Amino acid sequence: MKRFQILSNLSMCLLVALLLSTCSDEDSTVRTLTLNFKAQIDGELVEFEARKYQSPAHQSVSFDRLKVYISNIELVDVEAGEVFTEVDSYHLLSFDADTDSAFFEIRNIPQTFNVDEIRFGVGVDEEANASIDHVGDLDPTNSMAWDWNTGYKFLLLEGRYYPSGDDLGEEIKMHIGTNANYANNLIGFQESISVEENPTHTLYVNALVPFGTIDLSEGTVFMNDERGNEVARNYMDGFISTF
Amino acid sequence: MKLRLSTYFVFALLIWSCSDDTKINTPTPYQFIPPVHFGDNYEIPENNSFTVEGIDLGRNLFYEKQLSRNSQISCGSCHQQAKGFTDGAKFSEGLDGELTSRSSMSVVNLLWNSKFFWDGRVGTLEEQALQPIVDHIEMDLSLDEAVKRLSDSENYRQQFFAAFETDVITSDLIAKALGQFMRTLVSSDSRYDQYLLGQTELTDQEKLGMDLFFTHPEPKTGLRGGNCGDCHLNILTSGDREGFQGFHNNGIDSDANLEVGLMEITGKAEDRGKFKAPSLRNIALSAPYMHDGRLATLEDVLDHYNDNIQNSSTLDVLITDATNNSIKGEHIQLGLTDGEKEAIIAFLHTLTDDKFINDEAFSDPFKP
Repeated sequence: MKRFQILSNLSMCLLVALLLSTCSDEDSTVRTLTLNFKAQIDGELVEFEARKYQSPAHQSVSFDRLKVYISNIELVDVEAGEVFTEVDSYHLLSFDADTDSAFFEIRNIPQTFNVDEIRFGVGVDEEANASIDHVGDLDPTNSMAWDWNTGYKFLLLEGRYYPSGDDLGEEIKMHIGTNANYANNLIGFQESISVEENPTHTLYVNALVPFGTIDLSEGTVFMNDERGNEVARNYMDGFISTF
Repeated sequence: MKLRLSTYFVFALLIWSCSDDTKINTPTPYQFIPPVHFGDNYEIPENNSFTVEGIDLGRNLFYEKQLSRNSQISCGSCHQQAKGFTDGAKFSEGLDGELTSRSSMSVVNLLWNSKFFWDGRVGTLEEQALQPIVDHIEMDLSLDEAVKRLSDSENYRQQFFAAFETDVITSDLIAKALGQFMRTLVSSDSRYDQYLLGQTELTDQEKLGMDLFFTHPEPKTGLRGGNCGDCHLNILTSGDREGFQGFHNNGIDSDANLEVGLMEITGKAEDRGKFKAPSLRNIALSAPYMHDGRLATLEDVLDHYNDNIQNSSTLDVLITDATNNSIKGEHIQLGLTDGEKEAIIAFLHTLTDDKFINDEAFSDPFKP
């Protein structure tokens, strides 16, 4: 009898423990979409610090690093007419010789959601750009911050430009920010992505797009002036894509 | 029966809770709270987390003159708290009076750094900590002898035991203790910090200096800038911590006189003449300036960047490009007015942190 009582008490304890642990499980009706990003040129991963490429203006360039903020992600289920908005949606994608891909997770998406489109901003919206809060990947002490008051670089692209006969080359610095250069982008998928199985989807950052038809012999620094704005106009179209 | 089970349970709980409290000689975790506005872009090595005893030991070792061959100098000789942990000399002086080839670097906010020494030759503070001890000009003590001297001291054996739960002293543990102490040297209470946190106001001149400091000039749009923040980034005013991005050729020499600098480490021709952009915290206390201490005053520094840039093949393009002048001349000129230079210097003075340079926790424990 005593043994039965002990076992019975132990069973009760186990049951309570089991119930408690079940309660702490996350909501089973939501899913996670992982977005993976790769920096590419002509369908191949960018070889940072290692390879020279031809810019659209047929000038020889190489890449040291590429960073870009994307923000305010919205997933669109066209058929259901629903939009999923990510909270605190600020993501810094960083690529360099040691890092050829970047990824982040978008959590708490309803499990029945089918992603037909992704809307997002390249850069940081005006409100967050004026804030000192650490939200998402925003950090006023990282290398993307201009300073305490004036927000973030939206795009940082650094590398070298090699004029004919110059093996050492010149530094390229594209540091693009300012609210006017915040760009809304949309990517549509040919086939809906069901989030049911917590999928991972890859997008591509096209490293030559910011160059457009810019002539680097006229200067290799692009910041808060018309040449910087030209880079911004270039990255507003086709910078991030599905292929 | 229920009572008996409960009794067992309580007894077990008591034993369990006692077993934690009765551990003795376990190093006490140090609750490091980073300044709220410094961000979390730092790493504390997993194998050398902060402990109260480790930091205390590191402080003692930092000021321990036995770690030099003739027991005449310590780390603190060239890194003096009152001078923002520099020594005020053009070149640091070693134990026999011989000069090194570098000006002493400020030891401040190193937690947010990832490369150390002017040429970035090491990537951790633990590696950094031992090099001056064995350097023949600086402290000239072999690590074996350093270990022996400390092991001969009952006091240090006890301190190492308290910090690392062993009284077998090794050079690795010396480095770890020094690393822990140096990571606590955080300067975050300057007037600039207080301004950022809304605790004080800067003068109009200081604010102008701050704006100029952080702005790359764009003469086409009338945006005037001092161009400092391109290398001395944001709140920390130190170089980019990623890879070697925080190293620059800042135009102090032409190609003919360019030192090897970072190229010594990377082997890349484009890194010739590049040196670490240091933190400017307490910069008004840490003259002279540049890696070789060639500029005596902040006025000299502003004059250098404004008028005396030497062009070279690896000069930073953000310097080459920067001018406030509407017409770019043949020579690189920033084009600041005297008033603008004075404003930037006024801002640099707001980076002085009196609390930091007087904090007893960072001071020489051997001073009476």
